[in-house]
This record gives sequence, structure tokens and C-alpha cells, in this order.
Amino acid sequence: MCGSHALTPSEAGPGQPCGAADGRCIKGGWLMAAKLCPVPYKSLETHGTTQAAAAKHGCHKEGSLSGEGGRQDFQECRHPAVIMAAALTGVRLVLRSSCCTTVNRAISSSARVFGIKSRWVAPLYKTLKHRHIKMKSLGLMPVNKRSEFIEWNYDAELYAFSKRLQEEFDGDALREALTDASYIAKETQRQQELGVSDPGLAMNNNKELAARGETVITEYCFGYLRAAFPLLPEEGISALVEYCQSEDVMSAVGYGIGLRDLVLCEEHPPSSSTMARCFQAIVGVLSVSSPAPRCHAFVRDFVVAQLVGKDIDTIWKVENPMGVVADILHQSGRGEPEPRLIFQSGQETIQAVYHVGVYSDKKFMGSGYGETVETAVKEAAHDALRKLFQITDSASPLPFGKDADVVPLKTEANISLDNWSIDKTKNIITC
Amino acid sequence: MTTKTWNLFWGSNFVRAPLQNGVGRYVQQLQRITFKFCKTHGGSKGMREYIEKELIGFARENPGVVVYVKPRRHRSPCLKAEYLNGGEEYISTHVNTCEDIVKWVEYLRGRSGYPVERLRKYHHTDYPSIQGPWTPWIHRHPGINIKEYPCEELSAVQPTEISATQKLLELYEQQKQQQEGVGSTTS
Repeated sequence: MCGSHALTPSEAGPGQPCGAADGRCIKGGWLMAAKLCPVPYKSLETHGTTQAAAAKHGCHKEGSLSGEGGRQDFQECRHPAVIMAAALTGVRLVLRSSCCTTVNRAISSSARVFGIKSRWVAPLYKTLKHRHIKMKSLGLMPVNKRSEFIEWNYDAELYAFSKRLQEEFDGDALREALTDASYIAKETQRQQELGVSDPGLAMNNNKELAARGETVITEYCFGYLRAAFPLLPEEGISALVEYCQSEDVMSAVGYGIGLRDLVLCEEHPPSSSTMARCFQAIVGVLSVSSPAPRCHAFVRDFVVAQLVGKDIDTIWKVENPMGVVADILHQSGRGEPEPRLIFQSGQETIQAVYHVGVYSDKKFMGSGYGETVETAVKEAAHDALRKLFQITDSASPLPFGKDADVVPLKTEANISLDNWSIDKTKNIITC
Repeated sequence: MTTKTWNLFWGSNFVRAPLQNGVGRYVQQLQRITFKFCKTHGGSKGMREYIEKELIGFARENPGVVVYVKPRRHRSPCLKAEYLNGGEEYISTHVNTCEDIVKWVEYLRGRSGYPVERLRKYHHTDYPSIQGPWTPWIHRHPGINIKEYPCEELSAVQPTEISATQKLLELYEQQKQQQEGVGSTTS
């Protein structure tokens, strides 16, 4: 079967043996081959007899079987009195004899029948595993949903989900939040294909809840970040909120709290947009079922916490920092910003470094380093802005936990960048 | 095991927490654990004992962990733990006693789900310095910018050790003091 046309297991089908006579097929093929052409009982009996008889007559020690002389002895040692016992012990002896150094085709083939894994098995499994890993990395392997496994209880999962996050969710609303529109569409279509004219799926998707959650997250992030960064212009606050609301952050939080296995959607694993929507819906459920402070604490602990360790400069990029510094100084009635070289080293080499300071009315505002004077000036202007907005590395960290509970949310907008001046910031109390 | 071997197979990493865990609130990272065992086989004796004695208490103390119990005929027992970040851990508990399994479950309960790796340091920060990076001009007086060069004060050699002449002078002074001391005691 294997000689002319090698069938793959899928071609052959599960019930049919794929040809395995030449040992090039998978393990299932070997078992099938064994069933198709079992070793004749007589050959077993003969073999067992010879070994047992040889042992009895003391002319053979196990492991020393070699050469024609030994076989001659076996022929002579055959004795009718030991045939019965030998037939009974034949199987065991066959297995044992496969360990002998002599190559005996009959023995090795019987050994395969009885499941002895000879030296081809390990390399085969290695190759199969290698292929498996490769296909997985290429995305060709289907990933099983966790809910398809036998040990899966959706109710228990939902209970543990709320307990894990230390929140109380409304049960039905939580199920709704975890149901994506694509799942309902797929289920309806599947039932119609099966002949159910009116599927009657009393399920709602999570779009409304997601919209509600999005509003809650946006409002809270604005209030919290304005209070935490009172001197940061409104443009910066908007950029931070946009970052918190971005699909990447939302889906990362969704994955991180274990929504991956719980969400009901068509695709698997869930796409990041589905996951982001689902997480927003979870916040929406919480805003319905829990008081506002509790919902706010949830948003703070899971969404705002993603800002910890991030550089605000990378999230909110000021394109022309020197121009912004000049505008602010102009608004404040101060002198023009004046970049001055503080130190320099290694000019006209590839290791040149310049240290530039920004001064206004001979007052130091900030300094920066760069490999050229232009980059150093830009860095110095950035540093001056960081100092003005109080977002330096040495600024106090974002408040969480008990510290955050006492900070009142700020509803009115921060000063916008166009109107930002040093005088206006004097009345702002920083926390 | 040498460091090279360890790095080859296990790698190394800094201390990290998934999803800024603990910044806001702590979320237990173990999300579900499956106890697989045989109802009759001797190898699962400890596991059966654990299920009878300890499992209810474990589930009660950890409501955020979904516990599955899966009997499988004539197969050796094991623990399968799944974590929030997608990490999985398999522990074979063949012929383990109940006490052993208690320890293994405790081990799985406190894990983060990240693979076990050599930690380069036991602490980590995204901000190694809040004062900015080091430069060659840290702690140098900016007054040297407005000096007129060549400057004798800045060009002078700043000796780090005392010279031979100074050392001789010191020795001479010491000797002199000793002699004076001897003279005063004898008189």
C-alpha cells in the first residue's frame, strides 16, 4: 500500500490503515499493520521453545546468542516435554530476546507487534514535535478553545472572575458584557443551517455596555489625570487619556484579567478589538451594578495603572519644544529663551557631546545633552517644559490606593497650551 | 549546573509583574487548576487523600481559582495550572503523598505564570536614576567656562601623594620632636 502510493493519514481516513509496511508511516500505521498481518503463532511457539529448551539444557545463556553454532544447538535441543511450558512463556522470551545483539528479523518484527519501541520511535517523535512547533509558529495549527475541553464550567468561571477582581458583578449583565455580536450572528446562522427557522436566541451583545464603559473610563481618566498633573496642559491630558483608551491598552488589560477564555466571539483567539470592547463592557457592567467610587477604583487599578513606568514625553510628543517654550515665556512676560553651551567635548569626532542650557532673563530653565548642538538645544527645551509642567523623573508618583481616594476628581479642564503661562500656575495647588 | 547551561535552556530576566499587578490591587494570577487522578490506582492515593481532606479548604480560601477534578481510569495523577497571562504548568504527582501535593499546590498558587528563569537582580526599576544620566560634567564647576586660558591655577599639577621632599621633611620633624622629648625627660 505504501510502496506505490503513500497515503497520508487524512487521505486514508480514520478507519482505514495507512500503509506501513516499509516503516515510513506514523505509529497508528504500525498498529494497523500488526493487525493486518499478525505473526503466525507457530513462529512464536518455535522461537519460545528453542530458547526455553536451550536454557533447560544449559547450552545457552541469555545475551550470548550468536553465530550459526547457537542455532544448531537450538535445533538439537528441541524436546517435546517442554513445548507446552515454552509456548506459555513464549511471549516473554520473545520480548527478552529482542535485546540480544544478534539481528533476527522474526524477533524484531514480533517485538514491534508487542509494542517494543525500537530506535526509530524517538527520532520520529522528535520530527513530529519539530513540525508541530513550526506549524504553530506559522499559525497553521488550530488553537483549541479552553471552553471546548471537558473540564469547563462557565458558571464557575464567571464566579471566580468576579472574586478574582474583588468585585460584585450582576450575573446576567456580566454574561451580556462577555457576548460579542459576532457570536450571536454565528449561532443564529448555525441554527438556521441545522433547520431551526426561528433560533430564538435571547442574547444581547455588549455594544451598549461597551459604550457606557468607554464613557466611564474617559470621564474618570480625565478627572484623575487632571488632578494628578495639575500643571500639564489639557492637550497632554487628552493624549494620556487617548493612550489609556487605545485598543492596545484596553485589550492588554482584557487579556490580563483573564477575558481570553470567557469571551464569546466568533474568532479564536479573540482579536484585540473584540477584547477591548469586552473590557469596556465589563467596566460598563460595573458602573451599573456597583457604586461610582468602586467603579472608579476599578478603572484606576487596571487602566490608569498602565501609565506607571511610562514616559509621558513618549505618549504626548511636543514637536517644536523651543517654540512652545518661547510662547510660554512670551505669555508670561519673560525674556526670550536663550540656549547657551554649558560644556562640550570631542568636537568634530564621532563622540562629540554638547551640554546646552536654556536661560531666560539669565535664569536657568533646563538643560539637555546631544551629539550635535541642535539636538542638545531640543533636549534642553524639552527639559525646560518638563520642569514647567512638573512631569520630571523626580516628580511624585501617581497616587493609588488610599492616596488616590482622597484626591478629588477635577472636572474643569487644565490650562491649554496656548494660554499656558507661569503666572497662571501660581494659584494651582499641586498634590 | 554552569551559568552557560542555565542561560542556554532557561534564560534570565528581571523581576516583573504581569499587568502592573500590585500597583493598584493584587490579582491572583492562578486562574484554574485541574486535579487529574485515578479512582482506584495506587499511584493516585495521595491525590485522593488530598481531594478528601484539603481540596474544599483550598477552594474556599481561593475563590478566584476555578478548581476542576478529573478522574481518569488507570492514569497517573497530575496537576495542571493555568495562569491569567496564558502560562501553564504541569506537575506530575505520581505516588506523591498528600503532604507533597499540598506543597505543590501552594507552589502553583503563588506563581505569576511567567516561566521560571534566573533573576538577574532581585529588584528592578524603570527609572535607574531620577537625577538624569551621568555625564562627564557632573559635579564640575561651571566657573571654569569663564576662565582665561592658559590658566596657571587649572594647569597646575594636583598631586595625589606626598613628594619625597615632603616625606623627608616630615621625617626630620618627627626626629626633632623625639629628640626634644628625650632631652626633656633626661633633664
